[in-house]
Amino acid sequence: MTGFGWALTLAAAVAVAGSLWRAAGWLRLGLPVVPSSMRERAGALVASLARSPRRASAGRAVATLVLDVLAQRRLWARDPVRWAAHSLLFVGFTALCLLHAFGDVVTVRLAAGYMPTVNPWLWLRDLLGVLVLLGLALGSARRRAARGRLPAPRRRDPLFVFIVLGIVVSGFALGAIKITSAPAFERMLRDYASVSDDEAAALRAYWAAEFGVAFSPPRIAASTAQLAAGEAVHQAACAGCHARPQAAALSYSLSRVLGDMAPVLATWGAEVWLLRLHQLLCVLAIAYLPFGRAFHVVSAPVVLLAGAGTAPPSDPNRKVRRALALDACVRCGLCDERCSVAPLASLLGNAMVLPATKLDALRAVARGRLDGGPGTVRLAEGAYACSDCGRCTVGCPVGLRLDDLWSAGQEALRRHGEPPAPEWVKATSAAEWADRLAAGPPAARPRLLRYTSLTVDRHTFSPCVQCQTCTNVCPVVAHSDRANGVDATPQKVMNLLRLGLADLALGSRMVWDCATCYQCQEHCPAGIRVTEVLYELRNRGYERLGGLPRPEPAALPGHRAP
Amino acid sequence: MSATYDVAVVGAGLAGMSAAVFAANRGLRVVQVGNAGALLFSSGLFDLLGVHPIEDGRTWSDPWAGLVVLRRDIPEHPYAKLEAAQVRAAFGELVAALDEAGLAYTAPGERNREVLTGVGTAKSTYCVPRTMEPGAATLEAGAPCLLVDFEGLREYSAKAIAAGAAARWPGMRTLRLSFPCPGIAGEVYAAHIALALEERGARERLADLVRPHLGDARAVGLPAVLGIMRSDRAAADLTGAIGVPVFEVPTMPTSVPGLRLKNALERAVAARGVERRVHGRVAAVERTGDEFALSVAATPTPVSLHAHAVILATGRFMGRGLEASRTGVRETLMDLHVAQPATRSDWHRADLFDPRGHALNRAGLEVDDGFRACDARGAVVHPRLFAVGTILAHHDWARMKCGAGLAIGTASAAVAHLTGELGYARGVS
Repeated sequence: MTGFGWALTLAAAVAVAGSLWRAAGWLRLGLPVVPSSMRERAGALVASLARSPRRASAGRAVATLVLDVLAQRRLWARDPVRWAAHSLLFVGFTALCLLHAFGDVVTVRLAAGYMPTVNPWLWLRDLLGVLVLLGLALGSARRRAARGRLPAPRRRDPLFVFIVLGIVVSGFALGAIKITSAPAFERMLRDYASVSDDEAAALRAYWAAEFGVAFSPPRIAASTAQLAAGEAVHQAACAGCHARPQAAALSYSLSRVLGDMAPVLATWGAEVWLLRLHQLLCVLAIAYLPFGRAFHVVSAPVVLLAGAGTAPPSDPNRKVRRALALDACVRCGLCDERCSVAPLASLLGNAMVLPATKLDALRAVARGRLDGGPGTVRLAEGAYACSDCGRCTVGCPVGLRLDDLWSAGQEALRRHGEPPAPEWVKATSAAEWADRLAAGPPAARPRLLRYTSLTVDRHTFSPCVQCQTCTNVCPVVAHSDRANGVDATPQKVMNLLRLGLADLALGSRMVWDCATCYQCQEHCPAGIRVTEVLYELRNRGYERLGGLPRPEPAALPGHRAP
Repeated sequence: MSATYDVAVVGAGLAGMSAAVFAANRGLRVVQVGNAGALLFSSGLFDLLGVHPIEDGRTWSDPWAGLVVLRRDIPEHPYAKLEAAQVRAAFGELVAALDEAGLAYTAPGERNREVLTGVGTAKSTYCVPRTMEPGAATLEAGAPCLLVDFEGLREYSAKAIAAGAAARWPGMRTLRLSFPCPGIAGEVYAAHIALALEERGARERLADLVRPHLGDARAVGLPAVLGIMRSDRAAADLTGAIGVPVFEVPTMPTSVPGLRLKNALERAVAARGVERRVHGRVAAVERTGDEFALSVAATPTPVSLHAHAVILATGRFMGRGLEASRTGVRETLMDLHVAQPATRSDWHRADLFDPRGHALNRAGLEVDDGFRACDARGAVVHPRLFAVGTILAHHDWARMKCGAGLAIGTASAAVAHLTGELGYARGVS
């Protein structure tokens, strides 16, 4: 076996091992709702994959494979430019892999007498390379145009793209060099053609004039007769196995650009080195496939075929699917574009609000990396900012059930002692919060404070005559019982503001239980913006109480000892 | 430029709502600006004329007779500019509109009704909600009754009412219940009980609690909590389940009947296609050529409205139509002339409870016979700028018990003059 063969074998082994490691992650990772053993989950995954062709129909599974996986109809519906870039890259590169890289295995079976030097294979290879380059160019142009609106890429995200770019560029360079290469001509002449020396001379003249082979020294001013003779030899000895190099349009153009440099490059052994580089990059691509985001060519079809979140929460497969979702996301950012609460990300200065970034953080959670530190608090802020609108799920081109993932993430956070703000606030009484505010210097987190204007303006609440209308019409007050009751009715909150005791209201159940139904505001005879005041108090409370030491996790609802 | 309305009604109290209903009934394009206002403070009773002269505390069982005397005694009183027939028709029109909107009142007739109030006094009023009517009938008959109240409902005490009414109504017993609905405990609110009583189950449980205590009672009085949207059904249901007429006793403001009245009037104007701008107050009114331009300070964006006529029904101090300061009383929106005592020291008499009332209570806007606002010299400010309701001068509606009549009657007269002014003569639709 050649060195390349060994490298290829090794790369394939790495790829297989890596894929198995990724697949094991689907079973190992997870945001649990119901504990289940690894074996159960493996069984569930296999069963659901096996079921998928049968469940609806084999036709449906094929349709999923063809329409969703190959044709990417979801992406087409969301963003045609992206679809174009993705398809150019995917179709071009996949076809190159099959027809060119594995030509001896695949193409030979497709077409009898396959030879890479004859058409259509010669021009097709060049065209496919052009498609890949176009796809990469379109993709990077789009990424540049959308800069700032896309999730920040992880450091290793572009690696696979650069490898692909390197493969294609080195391939074109190799093609161009070979077109001009005199040694390559001599090799072919020696290996494939049995001609006399005169005929060989005529053939050299013809190839130099017609195909630009750069002989050294250059043969200038070949006679018409010599060229005619050369053409005759070419037709007899070469044309059957070697199409005109012009068919490889881009490679040929590139070879024209090289021009006089070609003999120099040939002397340096450029042909050999480029081939080595080309092969090395291919080997790298194979070995790296399972470790980068290119692995979505495997994981996305698995997600699509395993079916999406129709299973009950008790289904162990649900956990597998969550792990799959965590793994299959490529941070394309289409979810971010559709996120209803996206403005909060800039308002709070917290990218964890956005689905793609949040999903990354949840992957860490699934690996058990939840430390309760500032990162966890920020993740909790992002996770609970979600309004459950489901637009991200609808927008996901891979069909990930993101909504299910978010609720699992919230559950995980809750178990870890990070319940949503209303819950940790209400675990402590309003009076106790007020005492803590008075005692400790609050860590200033003035993010939302610029949006508080009503509760500090006495004109807002001074018209209150304490008529109790707001309390009368408040459904939250009406439906709270003695044990769980509100501690201050809306009208009492207004009174606290009038008395300059806003801190007493910040932790009150009324403020945190308010359903923002606007009944109080609609009914207020004094025209006070009661609901908006309550809402603003909640924002103020979030800022100020969030800066204080948090309650012990064990005291919070939903917490489970690890 | 937006469309021009026939009339802009500023204010959403009883006067503003009545004006909107009457104007819409006459085919006018109406826009109304103002939030719930003081309607929520209403007891739900419609007074026409209860007391005159107030210094004698003379009550009238025939308000129409009282009106004749009032007109003679106080010729500048707004009632002096109204015909009795017109006032009665206006009451009829408004009660019909309320009936359509699902809130039934007794028909306006010849006489006042005596109603037991939430503090145990009897009050002369004109039209009463149907849910209170059996109480008036029982009081008139002097029949024994059972008065029920609820634990935790602070503003209403059956015992206190019975103590106040003992002299007039000897056969009255009281009963305190814990309202039979989980979640309504501790400090309870009338509206929440009313909300619960919209449900049949809660009514049945309440009836089961009351029935054993019925004894010789010929009627059962409850605080005004018999539902919010369908009080008639709640009352009928309870009456059927308990076996004797069930009636409501008006409660302290802000009361459920006030809420019902507000809701019903909102339905009534909405049904008539009145454009309502609930959120925001009129910040300024300007006259541009033949029109009025109203700037509404609304969130998120201010709105500009255009109308051929304006009816000002902004109320007195509570509704912020009038504003009292050290320098005097002023009208808040257009700084219209306010008839008022010469100096601040003349505002009040020495005794706060002086039965004659205070001069400040009679301050307000001067209008001509068509209820057009007048300046200090008595000249009409604009032929289509009207003022109605309690903002007018020369009355003391709280002591005279004439608030509803004033609101409804003046609104009706202003709309009548307005339709004449605008050239509409389509009659009641």
